[in-house]
Amino acid sequence: MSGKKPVQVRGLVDVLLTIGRQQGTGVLTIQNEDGTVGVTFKSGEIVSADSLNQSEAEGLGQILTERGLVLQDELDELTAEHEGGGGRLIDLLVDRHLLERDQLLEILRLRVFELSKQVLTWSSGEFRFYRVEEVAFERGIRPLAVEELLIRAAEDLGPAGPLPGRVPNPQSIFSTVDDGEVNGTAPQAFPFEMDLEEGSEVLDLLHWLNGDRSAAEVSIESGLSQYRVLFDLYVLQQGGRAVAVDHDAAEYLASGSPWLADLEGGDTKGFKISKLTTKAGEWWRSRADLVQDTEDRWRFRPNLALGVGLIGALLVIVLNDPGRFLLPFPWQGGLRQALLDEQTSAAYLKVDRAAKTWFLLQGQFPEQLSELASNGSLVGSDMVDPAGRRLGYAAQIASYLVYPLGEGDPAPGSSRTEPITGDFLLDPEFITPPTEPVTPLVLLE
Amino acid sequence: MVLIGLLWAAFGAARPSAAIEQSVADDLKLSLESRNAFASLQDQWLEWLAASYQADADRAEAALSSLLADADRLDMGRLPDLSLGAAGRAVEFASQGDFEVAAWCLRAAERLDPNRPEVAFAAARVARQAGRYTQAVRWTARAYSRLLKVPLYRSLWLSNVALWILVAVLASGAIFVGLLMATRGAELQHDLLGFIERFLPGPMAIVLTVAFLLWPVLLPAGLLWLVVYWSILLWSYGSVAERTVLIGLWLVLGVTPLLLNEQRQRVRIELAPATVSMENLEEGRLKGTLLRDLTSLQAALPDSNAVNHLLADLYCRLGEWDLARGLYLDVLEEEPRNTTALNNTGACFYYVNDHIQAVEYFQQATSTDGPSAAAHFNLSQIYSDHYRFSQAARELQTARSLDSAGVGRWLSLGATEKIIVLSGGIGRSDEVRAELRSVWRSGEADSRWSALWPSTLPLPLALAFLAISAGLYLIVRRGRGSRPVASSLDRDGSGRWLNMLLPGYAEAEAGQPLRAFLAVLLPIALLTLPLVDKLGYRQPILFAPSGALLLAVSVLLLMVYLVGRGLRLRT
Repeated sequence: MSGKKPVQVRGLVDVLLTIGRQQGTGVLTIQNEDGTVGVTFKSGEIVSADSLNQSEAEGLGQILTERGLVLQDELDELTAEHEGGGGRLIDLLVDRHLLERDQLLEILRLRVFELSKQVLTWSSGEFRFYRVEEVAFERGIRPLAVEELLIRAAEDLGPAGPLPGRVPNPQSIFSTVDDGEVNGTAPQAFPFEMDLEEGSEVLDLLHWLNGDRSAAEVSIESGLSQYRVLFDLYVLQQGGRAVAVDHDAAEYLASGSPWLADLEGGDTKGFKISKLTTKAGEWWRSRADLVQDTEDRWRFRPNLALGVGLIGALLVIVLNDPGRFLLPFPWQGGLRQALLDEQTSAAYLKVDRAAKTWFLLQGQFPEQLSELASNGSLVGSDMVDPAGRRLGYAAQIASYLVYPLGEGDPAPGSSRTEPITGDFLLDPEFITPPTEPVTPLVLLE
Repeated sequence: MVLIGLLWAAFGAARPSAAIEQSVADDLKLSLESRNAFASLQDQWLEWLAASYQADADRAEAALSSLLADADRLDMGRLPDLSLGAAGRAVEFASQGDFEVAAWCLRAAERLDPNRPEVAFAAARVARQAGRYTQAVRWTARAYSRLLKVPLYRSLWLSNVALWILVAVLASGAIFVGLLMATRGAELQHDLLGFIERFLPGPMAIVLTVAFLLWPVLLPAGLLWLVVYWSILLWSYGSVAERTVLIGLWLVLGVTPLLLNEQRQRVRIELAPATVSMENLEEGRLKGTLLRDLTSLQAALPDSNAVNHLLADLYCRLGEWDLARGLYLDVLEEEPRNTTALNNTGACFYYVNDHIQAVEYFQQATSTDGPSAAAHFNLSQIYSDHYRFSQAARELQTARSLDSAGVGRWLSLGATEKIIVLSGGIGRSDEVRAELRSVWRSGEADSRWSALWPSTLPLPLALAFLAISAGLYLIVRRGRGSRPVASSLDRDGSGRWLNMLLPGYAEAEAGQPLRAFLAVLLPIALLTLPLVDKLGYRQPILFAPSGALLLAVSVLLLMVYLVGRGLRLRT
């Protein structure tokens, strides 16, 4: 998808669908004499849209004032502050408690939809898709799937929209069309490239169509998103592989957009916002009146609980025993013990230096290890070995024994005896002159 | 004198036990002169000790000067054990309120072994007890700067820092996986549930999904297994950047055992008494256990030429020329062109008045690949002794041409050191370390082969899990479209609280994994900073303060971090 291509609605729909199916991330720019619009995709879904002719603040302001959600005076004041470097309009709206952030995100989403829909009405121009690794968008915004854009644009724009013909609605009931069956609906020309050969993902939906299930029910049972189901049904219908058995329902959407209707009435602002966000965000549920959605069952968001729970447990380990992160696994016991041995050697070396310094000054080893702490040679933590066991100690005339205490008894294999032997500063025997061999005196009779 | 008597009695009390074993001096076949030199050191120390008890500064000074002069004669003018003893005496006097004697004890400690961190720590302690807090801070700072100049302490410090960084990275990595689950896990759960629901009714499917996600906690070290497991499950749902961070973390986890094993072996060598003594010998320090440690070194490496060379150099310093010559000749059997050994062998012959042999070895030393100024100088000295002045002048000229400054210095030594002895063996300590490492490593191979496992297992294990995960991913997600599940995060406003309370959450949610990881790493590193000593190797430094300093630094930096974070969130 590189290089400029002329805009044709059908070609643009192809591009949108391809980006969606490939879960592409990047920016699609569409340009013609009316302006330039950039549509930002993250993982195949639209997360942002910008127009060169209208800044985000202007677009947002227009929607808010048109819907009566913010008074023009309020908007002017905020816009002046925004232009004076006082921060983003979005943040100012939230900070002034004119709108809740969640509500604002839905309105932003509405603007994304409006801008994206706008380019679907253009009859000429060029587009280019810039594939990038990361894209910028408002955190928390609900992404707009390509299928949702197309279905909703079709609803709003009717015959001038991207999907000619009948567009299914949630209550539509479809059944499959057997090969060769003529059911009054011959295959139509697709408004975009679509492969309905065997193996196509779209054909998987046929398994769910039995002439009894509504589109809403198919969505729930198949786990596919609502708009994906509607869009696939549209494709199957156009391809002559499925047919609506309830024409009244199929024509329902043609009667007009269910979106954002009657907002200009005399409702209060809160009520308008509620209506707006409900219709924009929760439209599916309110229209379809469905039984439990999969997400409803996950409303308490266990992934969040699990993630935060894990982090909490890990923090406890970090504060109590951070060394466990180094060699946590059972088969690493040998290395863990070897590491502990060297740590113990270092700890004993410190005790040894303190004990021998004491010997240098007192002519004997201390009777208690704690005496070395009281004279400042050691500190409290030196009375414990690296494994956290208290150290036992026993002094003799010319040596001392240090060992870790395991339930009162010396733990095997980890004690250390240090004599003064061979230390010319401590060992009096060291400087004893070598004994000359004495010739035995033999008394002869 | 009564005190000296008491001290001697105390020392004497040790005799019965010590006499049971063969004396190290006997093992080393030291002559009476050498033993007397050591005995003199012991005598002077006891004299200084008694003078300090009596607060007799003049007598103490005389004893100290004599002590240092005796040590100088052994060519090892620094006495670390006695320096510690003097510092200990200073702390003792300070605790009794006698700060004047404490001060000259500290000065003595500094002269006995200059720039020891322990002396600076003791000085800080004395200053604190005297109420001179500014001085205490200054001494503490000086102690830490000295610490990094001592090879053993520096090595242990660097090891501890490495361990701290590893722990911080691994702990942050584990928390990062938790963040991934919190921000990206919804889709994983949705897919799992959807898949299981094909076969089981709703409640059972939920239970099974939770069980599938949490079963690793039942394993030993289950929580950390869980982290690895989730990192693999979430792989399929991550962006390229998130996967890159995960790969980095797996690599760190995989190489950690290798790094630890390598570090442990190095520390083992550094902490070995023989290595400590070798290091002291290199720096001209005479440790009480020097001879014992080097005897044990010889026992550990009986066939090592480097050890023989090192011991021969030590014998030279002690004036044990016959013992030294025997070892040098052993060295020369394997290294016939070793210049320093040839020179020193010549010196050994010279000092036992075998000048013919001495000349022969000095001449050999001058004809090796690396010409030795000392050998030429020594030849000039012998020729001069024998009135062959023209040859002496020629050799001296050659020596000057090779090392003019050295010759000037040697000439200034005059009669005290007529023949120059080189320290080639003492300079081979790195070679000895390498040999020790090789011997100990081969000794470990049988007993601790299990230690090798960790170096190889985690990575293939992770890759195997990855393959299984990829297979599961294909099965579970087959035919499914993408869902904007993650978009629901801010619906109830809890995301806002998590952003505030959980570093890295906002970044993870925004799809910036590296920034999320770094946002976690900083506070975790600060939290674990006071635990460095617990994590790593205890520094064998006496009189050092407890970990309060690190705790204070950690708390201070954490406060700065929290304030900065608060301000950033506010704006």
